[in-house]
Amino acid sequence: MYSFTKLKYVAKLMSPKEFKKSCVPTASMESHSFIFVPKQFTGIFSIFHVRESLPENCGDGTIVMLKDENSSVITFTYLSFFLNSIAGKVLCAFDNDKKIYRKTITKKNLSECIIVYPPDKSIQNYYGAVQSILEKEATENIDNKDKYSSLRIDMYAELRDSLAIELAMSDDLKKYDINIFEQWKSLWDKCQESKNTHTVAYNDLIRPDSATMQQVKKLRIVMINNQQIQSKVSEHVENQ
Amino acid sequence: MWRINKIDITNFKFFHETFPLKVDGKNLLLYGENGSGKSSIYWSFYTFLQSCYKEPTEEEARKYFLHDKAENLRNRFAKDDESSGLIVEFVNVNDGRKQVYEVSDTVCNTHHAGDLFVLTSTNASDFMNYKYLSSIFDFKNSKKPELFSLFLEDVFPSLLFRTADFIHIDGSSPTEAKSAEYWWKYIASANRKLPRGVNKKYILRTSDEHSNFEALRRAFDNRLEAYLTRIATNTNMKLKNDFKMDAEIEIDYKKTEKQRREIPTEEDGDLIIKPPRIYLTAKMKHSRLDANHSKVEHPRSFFNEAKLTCMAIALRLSIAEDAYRAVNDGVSALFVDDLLVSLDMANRIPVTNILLDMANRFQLFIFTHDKQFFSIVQELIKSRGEKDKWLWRELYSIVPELSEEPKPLLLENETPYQKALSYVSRCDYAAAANALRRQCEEEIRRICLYNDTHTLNATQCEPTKYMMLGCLIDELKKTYDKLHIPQADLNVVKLNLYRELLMNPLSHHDARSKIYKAEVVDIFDEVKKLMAVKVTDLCTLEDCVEGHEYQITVTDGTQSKYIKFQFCDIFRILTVNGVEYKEKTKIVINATDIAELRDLTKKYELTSLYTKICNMIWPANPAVHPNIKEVLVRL
Repeated sequence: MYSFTKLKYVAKLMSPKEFKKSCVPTASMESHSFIFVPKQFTGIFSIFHVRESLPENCGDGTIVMLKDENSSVITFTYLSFFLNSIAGKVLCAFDNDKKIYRKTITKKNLSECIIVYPPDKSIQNYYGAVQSILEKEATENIDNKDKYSSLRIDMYAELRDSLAIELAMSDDLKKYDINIFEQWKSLWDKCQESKNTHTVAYNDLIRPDSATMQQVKKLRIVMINNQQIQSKVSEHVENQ
Repeated sequence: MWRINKIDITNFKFFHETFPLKVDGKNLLLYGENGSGKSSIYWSFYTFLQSCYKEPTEEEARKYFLHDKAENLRNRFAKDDESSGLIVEFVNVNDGRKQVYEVSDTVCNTHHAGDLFVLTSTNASDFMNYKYLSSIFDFKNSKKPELFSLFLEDVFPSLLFRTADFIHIDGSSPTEAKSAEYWWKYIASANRKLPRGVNKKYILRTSDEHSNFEALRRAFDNRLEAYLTRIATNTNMKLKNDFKMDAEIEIDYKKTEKQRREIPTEEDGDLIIKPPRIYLTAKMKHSRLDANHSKVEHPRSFFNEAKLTCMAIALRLSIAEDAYRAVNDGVSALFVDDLLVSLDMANRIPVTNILLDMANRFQLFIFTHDKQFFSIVQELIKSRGEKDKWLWRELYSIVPELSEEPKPLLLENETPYQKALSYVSRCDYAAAANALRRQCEEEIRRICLYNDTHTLNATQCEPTKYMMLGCLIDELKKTYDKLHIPQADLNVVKLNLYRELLMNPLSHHDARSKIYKAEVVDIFDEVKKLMAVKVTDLCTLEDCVEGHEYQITVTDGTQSKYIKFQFCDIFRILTVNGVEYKEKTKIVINATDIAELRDLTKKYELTSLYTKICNMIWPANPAVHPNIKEVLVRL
C-alpha cells in the first residue's frame, strides 16, 4: 500500500553554500521549494521548513529539494508533511541504538532517512493539505498570534503527526481499528464543497465528537501503552 | 458497546468483606445517606481506573490495598491477612462478551502491553464531585480565580498530551503512559537533573540538556494553552446551547516561568521553575454592554450560585467530553457524586436534564445523599421514557448492635406499587394498602399540575405542602373534567371509597379496621389505570417566558402556513386509553403569514387555532391533520 525509499533517492541534499551557488529559481513551485534542516537538532519541536529564500543567519544545516525527475512520484507538500512530522523527525534524528535523539543531523543522516509515501499522488495531496494549513497558520499574522491560532497549529500538528505515524506503522495499528486517514479524507472532501474550506475543517476538528480527532485520540492511547514511540516507528520502518 | 457490569469491593474503604454492586450495564442512580458507603463506591471506581496510570504500574496501584503501606485505603475492620481489592466486570451489551480486571493486594492486571481495554476506559471516563464545583470559583473578591492546582489534581492525572511530543532532557523518550501530571512534575523538578558548571550550584545554560529542557517547557506550555483554549471554546458552546446562559467563561493562561534562586544550592541549582497560572474569568453577553463592562474578573462576587454552578458544570463536562469516546474498545463512564447540592430545585431540574442527556455518550453513575433529588431524577428519567436504561438503588449503613461494625445494606428502590405486590404475596394487606396509597398519590401528582397538587403557604418562609389523597382525587377529577376525559376512564367514586375504607385506615394503627383482601387487590387495578396515563410535556413552566419562542408550520407541499408564538401557560398532552387530550393553553403570536391572525396583542387558544390553520390547508379532511406534536418546534 505504501512505498518506502531513502530521502537521497527522491531529494537533492546540499549545504546552504552549495544551494546559494547552484539554485536557480524557476517558475515551478515544486522545484522552487525547499526544506532547511538545521544541523543543531535542539529537540524535535522546531519547524524547519522555509519557503522562497534562505535567511542569511540560518546557520549550518542541509537543504532538501525535490529532484525534478521525482516530482511525478512524490509531491513537495507531501515530502514537507512527512519530514516535518514526528515520523520524519524520528527517522532522521533518532538513534535507535542509544534510544536518544542525536544532537546533530548531518547530510548523511538525512540522505539515509526513510520516506514512507502513498504511490498515488492524489492520496499524497490529502496529507500535504494538513501541512499546507499548518504552514499558512504559522506564517500568517506572525507577529500577532493569538491563542486561537496556537490552538489551530496545535490541532493540525497533532493531526499531521498522527497521520504520519499511521503511515509508518499501518500494520501495527490495524489491530486497533485505527483509520485516521479515511476520516481525514472524508472530512477534507466535505470541506472542498464549501468556499471556506479551512473554517469547515476547523469547526469539525474542534468538536469533541469529531470522527477524525476521535481516531487521533485513540492513537494517542495506543502509543502510550507501553511503547516507546520513537523506537517503534524507526524499527517498524527499518523492517519494511 | 461495552459497559460496566459489576464491581466487587473487598475490604476497601467503607466495605468490610466483599460488597458486590451489579449494574447490568445500565446507568446507576444511587441514593446513600452520609456514611453509607456511597462515596466509597465512587472512589473504588476511581482507584480502579486510575491504576493503569500508576508508575511503575503494579507496585504503585497495589499500595492502596496493602496493610503495610501508608497510603492504604483498606477497610479499618479488615485483618492484615485478609485480602483487599477491586474486581470490575465489563459486558458488551451487543453480544454478551465479558471482561474482568482486578486491582488488589496481589494482582494488578489493568495495564498490560497490548491490552488497552482499561487504559482506554480510563481515558474515556471521568469523575466529578461537589468539591470540584465548590472550589472552582471559591476565591475571595480580592483574589483572581487561579485554577492550576485544581487542574493538576483533578484533570492532569488523565490528560494525555499529543503523541510523542515530549522527550526527557537527556534526549530519551518515555517508555510508559505519561499524563500531563507526570510531565509537570518532571519539568518542575528538572532543575535538579540539569548539568552544572564548575560551581555545582549553577546550572550550565549552554548544555544540550538545558536546551532540551527549554524545548520541553515550551511544548508543555503550548500544549496546555491549546488544550485550555479548546476547553473554553467548547464550554462556551455548551453554556450557550445547553445551559442557555448569557455569559461566557474566559481562560487566561500564563506560561511557566524560570526564576533565579536567591540562594543557589548544590541540590536545586540556581533555578526555580514556577508553575503556570490558569486564570478563570467570565464575560457577560448583552447588547448594551461594551467590552470593558462585560468582563467579570471575579465571577464569585458577581454571579449567583446557580450561574456559577452551571459555568463550573459546563467546564467540567467539556473536559469530560474532550476525552476519547470509547464504544467498542472500552467503557465511557461518568461518575457524578453530589454534584448539584448547591442548586435549588428550580435550577436543579434543567441542569439534571443536561446531565441525563450525557447518557447518550457515557454510562452514568449518579450518587446523591439527597432523597428529594433522588426522587426528582427518577421522575425525570421516567418522563424521558428512559427507565429501562437505569437502575436505582438505595444504600444504607446498618449497625446491628452498637458494639458491631457498620454494614452496608443495598436496596432495590422498588416503586410503592412493586412493594405493594410483594406485601400482598406475603398476605400483609395493610402494608399493601399503604404502599398503594403512596403510588396513587404519586400518579395523581404526575397527572395533575404542580399548583393543583400542592398547598401553597401564605408566608414565603414555609415550604409548600403536598396535598393529601382526598384533595388529590378531587383535583384529578377537575383535571379530567377540564380536558373532557370521559368519566368512564376514571372511577372517582371507587377511588374515594377505597381511600376511606382501606388506604387511609390501613395506613394508621387502627385495630377496628377490617381488611378486605379482594378490595385491596382491586385497588391495584385502579392504580394501574392511573399509571397507564401518559403525560407529554410540550411546554414546561420554565419555557413559558418571554424569549422562548415556538413555531408551528403546516404544509401540504404546495401551500404552507406558519405561526411563531410564545406560550402563556404550560402545554401538555394526556394520553388516556390511547386517546390524546390536549390542554387548552393560550398563546401570543409573535409572527405569522396568516393575515387574519396579525393581532399580536390577542391571546389564542392553541389547539383550536391549530385546527383552524390545518383547515386552511386541508379544508374538508381533518383526518390528515398532522399531530401538533410533530409540527411544534422550539426555536
